[in-house]
Amino acid sequence: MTIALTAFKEKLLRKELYIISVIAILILVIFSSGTGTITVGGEPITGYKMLAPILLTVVNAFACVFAVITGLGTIPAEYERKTSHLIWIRNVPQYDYHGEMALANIMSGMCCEGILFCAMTVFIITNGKGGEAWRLIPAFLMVGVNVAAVSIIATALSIVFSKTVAGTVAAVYAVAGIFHELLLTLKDVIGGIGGDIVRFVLKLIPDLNDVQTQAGNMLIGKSVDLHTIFAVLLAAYAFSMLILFYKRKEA
Amino acid sequence: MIECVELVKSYKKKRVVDNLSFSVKKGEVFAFLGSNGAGKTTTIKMILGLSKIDSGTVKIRDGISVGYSPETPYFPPFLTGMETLLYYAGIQNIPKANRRVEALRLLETVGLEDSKTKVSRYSKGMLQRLALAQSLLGDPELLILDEPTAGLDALGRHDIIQLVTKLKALGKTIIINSHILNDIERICDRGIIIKNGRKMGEWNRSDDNQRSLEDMFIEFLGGERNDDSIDRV
Amino acid sequence: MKRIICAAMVGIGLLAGFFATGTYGLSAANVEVYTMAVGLEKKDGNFGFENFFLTDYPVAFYDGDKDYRITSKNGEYSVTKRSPVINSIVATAYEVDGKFEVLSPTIEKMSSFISLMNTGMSEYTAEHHAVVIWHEAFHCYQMTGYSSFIDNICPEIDEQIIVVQVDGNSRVVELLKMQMQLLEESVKTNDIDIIHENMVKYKQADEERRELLSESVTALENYYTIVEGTACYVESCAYKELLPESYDEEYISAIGCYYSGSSKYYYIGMAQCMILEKLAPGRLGGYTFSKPIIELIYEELCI
Repeated sequence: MTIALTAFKEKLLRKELYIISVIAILILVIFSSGTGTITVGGEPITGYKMLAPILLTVVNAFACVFAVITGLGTIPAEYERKTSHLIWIRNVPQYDYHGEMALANIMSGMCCEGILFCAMTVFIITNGKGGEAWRLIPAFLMVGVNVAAVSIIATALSIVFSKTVAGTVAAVYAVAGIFHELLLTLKDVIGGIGGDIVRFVLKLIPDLNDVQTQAGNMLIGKSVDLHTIFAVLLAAYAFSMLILFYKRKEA
Repeated sequence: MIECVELVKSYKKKRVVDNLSFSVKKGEVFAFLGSNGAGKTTTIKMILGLSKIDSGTVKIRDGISVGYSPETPYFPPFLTGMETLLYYAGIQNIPKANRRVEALRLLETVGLEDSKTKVSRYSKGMLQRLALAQSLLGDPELLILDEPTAGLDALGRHDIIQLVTKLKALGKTIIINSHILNDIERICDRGIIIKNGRKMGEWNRSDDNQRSLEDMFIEFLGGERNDDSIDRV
Repeated sequence: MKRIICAAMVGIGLLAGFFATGTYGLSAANVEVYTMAVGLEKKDGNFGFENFFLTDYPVAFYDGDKDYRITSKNGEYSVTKRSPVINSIVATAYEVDGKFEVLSPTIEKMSSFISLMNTGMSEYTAEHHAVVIWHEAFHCYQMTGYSSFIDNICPEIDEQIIVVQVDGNSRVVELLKMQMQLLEESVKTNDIDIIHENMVKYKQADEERRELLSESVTALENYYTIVEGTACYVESCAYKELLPESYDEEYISAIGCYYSGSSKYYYIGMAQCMILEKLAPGRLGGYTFSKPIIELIYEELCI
């Protein structure tokens, strides 16, 4: 865990974490204070049961974006600046080294998520739902599944492919995952071969949107379906095999 | 200790190590000499397993521990020198009880203080010393030093040369990659001169008929003789 | 080896969890929607239409991959799977092999779609979906028995005509708003005299308004009021039984609200059905969709 903890500490010192967190906290605080509201057809949405899932969408999106950014950069940076040399010569297996880097990425992604959840806590308390604040813990873990999955996918791709390819694929995964439901609806609108292609691609991409929906259900006391959470975990598991078994030829 | 037979390595169809063969005996200080791009660092990387060998073999005696000091070391900038050594000691699974003592000893050996200064504020010379210190963690039998005196002032170079001499006296086997011919002549027992990945010549201190290293360097690699020991070819 | 075994065990665990939590076939939530909708069905017709039965029309739920078609007979229902007829985004009445069916996305898809559209709806429940099923089933009833009358109401269905010629004319809008207020008052009261007085004013405003509009616009208004208005009425009756606490807010209060486009006619037609049922219970039973409901109201009130 030495490598993971040191890499995690390095990430905590990076400015990206704080920039993304500050932007998201501002958004959350605005909605918490009631100075900003979402309106639909001129009517404001102010109910806790309607706003909480929307705010969770913001948290999910920002945390996943952060996870992609850190996930893509970590391992290539290690090899670019050759810190990998002093790890390889110490007989640390590649799966251990890459695995600990992936773990550091996950920890920093969940750290970003944690900061955003602190702002959600403020929202919950200011909406008089302090007694339900305990629901934030399982909701945090559920959104954490998304963050961890995106982080693992980005990290795994960065080991095998160039930065451009890894970045593109990771971004497609994250965006398609977050907008999974929208894309499914789009598939139905397009129809034909185009719709079939979109459907096939979506089968390969975990539904991050539904996991966040389930986290929202947890927050507002509705029943939770664990199926998509397992699906996202399976996708992360598949990509983690790259981390576990792929061996770079050059340090 | 180490035997390399007909090593070949290419990058994008360009051969950077071309049928290189040499051996390093236990307890000797062995030098790689050559200009930039000769293939010295690539050869070192192949010995260390950091680079895949296209063909040829590297045989290292079983059970040997290896220490490596890179030419351009990068350490986590937010750590101090002590923390850096503790970090690598942790990766190396040195017993926790011994880590701090060992790290302090090594810092003192290379002439660094245990201070709160972060590595990000280290000079090139301090980084070089830290690189050397981490290579000595765990008391390895084989040391591979890539340009250990680069960036050091005259006093610093003197300290390193003294250290290498001391390590040799302790029975360590050392491979040095360096441009600085004076340093090589002072501390090394043997060496090879490499050009375009090929061995051009061998140098042996104990050979009574051995020409000066500078003469050999100029002969094999071209360039002009200079009274100052320069690394220009 | 240890690494491979651990990895394999984690994978097996995740796969087991994935399959254990999955639903195969039509989910229980959609079956609940159907049984809830069918549970409202009466033996002698429904919501004033004596020959209208939900169970006469199969309901197919589309889950993004397949259609799950539910048919009902003698209180028992059966589900069959088939390739999707259309990729239903919203529920609709559709002719399949010469017979009209309700094609609807599953409640899960519908719920997601509504979230995406950010309609401001607080929660989309099984009751909401059951009500939608009734609305579309009524369209199936219209198209099955009365398509010849409905086809004659209006030659061209284009909502843009309403937007341009009705919503774009300030006097027309003013009159229509007044008419909608009169309808709302009439729905809320049981005093026949007040209803009579309101309907006289309604007729006057309607005549003035129609002079400002072309025949094609009038025909289009009639089409929406008749076809969608009656379906909206059926929908509101089903809603009242399933979600009585929010019925007034969703339907009664909406009668007086002016919406751009065709949706205002849904509530106008619905309100007219409510008034007719109040004046002459059972009169809707023989309705053939050949003339506007408001004319039946005028007949009842001798206006």
